[in-house]
Amino acid sequence: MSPTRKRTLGLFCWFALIGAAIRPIGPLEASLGVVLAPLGLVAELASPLWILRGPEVRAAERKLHATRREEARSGEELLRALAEFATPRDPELVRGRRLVHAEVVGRGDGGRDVIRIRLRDARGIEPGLPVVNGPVFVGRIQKLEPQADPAGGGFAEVELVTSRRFHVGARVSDETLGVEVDMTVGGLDVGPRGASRARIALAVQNPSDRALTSGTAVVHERLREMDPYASLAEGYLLGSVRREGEEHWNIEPELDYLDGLFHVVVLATPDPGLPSDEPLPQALTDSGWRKARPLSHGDPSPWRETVSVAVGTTHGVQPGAALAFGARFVGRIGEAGPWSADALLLGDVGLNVVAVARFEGEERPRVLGRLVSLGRDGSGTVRMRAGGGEPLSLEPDGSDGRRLAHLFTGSGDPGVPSGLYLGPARVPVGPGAEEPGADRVLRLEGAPIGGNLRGLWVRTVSAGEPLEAAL
Amino acid sequence: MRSKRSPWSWLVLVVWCAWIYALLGRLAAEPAVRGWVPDLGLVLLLGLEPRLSRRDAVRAALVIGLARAAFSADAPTAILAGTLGAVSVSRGLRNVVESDAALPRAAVTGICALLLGLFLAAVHRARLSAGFGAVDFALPLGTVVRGAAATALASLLVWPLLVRLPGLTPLVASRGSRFA
Repeated sequence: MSPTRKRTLGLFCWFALIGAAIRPIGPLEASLGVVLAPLGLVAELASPLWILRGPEVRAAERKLHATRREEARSGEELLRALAEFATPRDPELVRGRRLVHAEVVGRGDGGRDVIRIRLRDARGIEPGLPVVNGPVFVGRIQKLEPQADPAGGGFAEVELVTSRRFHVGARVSDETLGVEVDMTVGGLDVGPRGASRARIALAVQNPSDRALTSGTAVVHERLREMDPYASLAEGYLLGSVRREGEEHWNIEPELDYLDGLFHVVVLATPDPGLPSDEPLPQALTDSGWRKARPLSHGDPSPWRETVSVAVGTTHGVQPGAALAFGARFVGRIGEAGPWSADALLLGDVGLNVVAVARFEGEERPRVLGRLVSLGRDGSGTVRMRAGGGEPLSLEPDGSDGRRLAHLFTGSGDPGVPSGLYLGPARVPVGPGAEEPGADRVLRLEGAPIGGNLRGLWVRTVSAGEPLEAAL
Repeated sequence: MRSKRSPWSWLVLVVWCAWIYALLGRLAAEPAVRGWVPDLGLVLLLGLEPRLSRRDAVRAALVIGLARAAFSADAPTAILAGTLGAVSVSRGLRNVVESDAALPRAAVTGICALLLGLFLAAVHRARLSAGFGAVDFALPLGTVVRGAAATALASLLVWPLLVRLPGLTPLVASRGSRFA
């Protein structure tokens, strides 16, 4: 080959590398992950550095070990609180039903309108069974997944009431008119003549009385013979009906269906042989964890905060899985090869996780939505931007318009169990925090530097060990 | 010029790079010093490059790039494109300045470190923006510039040591370098 051709070919390959770097192509990245898998061995070459760093690593780990039991207990309390607020307590809504607790673990193939749940007990669960959060109707079981749960339960997909294909019968008591109006609810309302709206609303169809003005909508199926499980969802809340224009109604929902669903309850047919209202065990105690030996001490690119770990897809580790030290959330898996993976730590710009906050003096956990890391500043504090979540109409505890809270992982992200401790943070609260352009950046204190820790554990999809042993 | 090097010397280069990048990762993990961590792998690459044939310089760029990829979450394609690009830029600049002299060599290394840092940070930002359109991720310009300055300084101070690392002599020996 002539030198000119060689140079042209070289230049072509170089531009192809740049293109593949900026616009990653899924299959190419996956193939590269396999081809470059032996790079884990290169990282092993520097493993004696861990021996030299022994005292430093032990000191950093000792500091975190001191609080690990307290953090695990706080996580357990949070899960208990989430379960309590997700469990229907009205005797009318509980009688004649078996309550099966479940945790939201991600979104299904159907996009935002389908959630994946991990059931406490999959026995007796059938497609079509209603799913609720406290007294609020959420959707129905769409299908059961054959995938085994290392924790002993099972997985299922739930179609939310926001789905375009979803329909449920509803009844509204209009106190102004003094009548009961039946209707069909399901899907999102796009507003009269397609007008955009700031908050989502459920669509209302075919009200039996077109004079309807307002009221609270609850599930009520008129044709119960069409749905064998219709009576189980009877009486559960859908939201408040609003009239918009002459012939247009919608329902303001009681829940944030996108980032506010962590814990749900499936309403099943009672069975004397099966338990009811059994709480979900904390993820730390199930066998869905595996030790993740770090291969590196940090990222050579100073604007990143990552380490390589010696576990990969052959060990049941998937991209997005949580990385923990004791009961503390440390980061998530990025790209995963067969035998090693990149672990993106809390200070890595772009790391994201759904979070729940427990404010000092507040009983109810608050949904913060998705936190995205903006990196660590010079003092070691991790800055995170909150997106979504519920309005935090609370009083600040200082002049900075913020209030101290303890942050935990929520559920909804595959591979990230809820209840792992993130750390204390000062969170913007009050009406100002919800306005457009408001500063929604939290400052997470005490986030550990992952490169100083050896005792890391990663969440796996295959059977592993309980992390509880490390506590 | 076609040259044959013993695979042993390439292996030694991999081992040295593994240690260099492990140490750099360790330093970069400390918030207090992370902005001032020099890219010693790049200093080594640009120190070896003038003493290697074009073919071997490309090989060295690939070896050093892959060693960095073993320790970094940056896309391997970006790292390889970056190290190969650094070799090309260095070769191009050597036609303009006498880069064996200490100061011009430091300047060339600093420029390459700046370009490599900006490229890797921009690729990371582009990948993030694809996932979080609503979040504005700023380029870490300060960190990149400080890192490039530290790399230029390291080139002045440790370059003679780096190109004389034990086991690397056979890589540069056949070109009769005064550093061999």
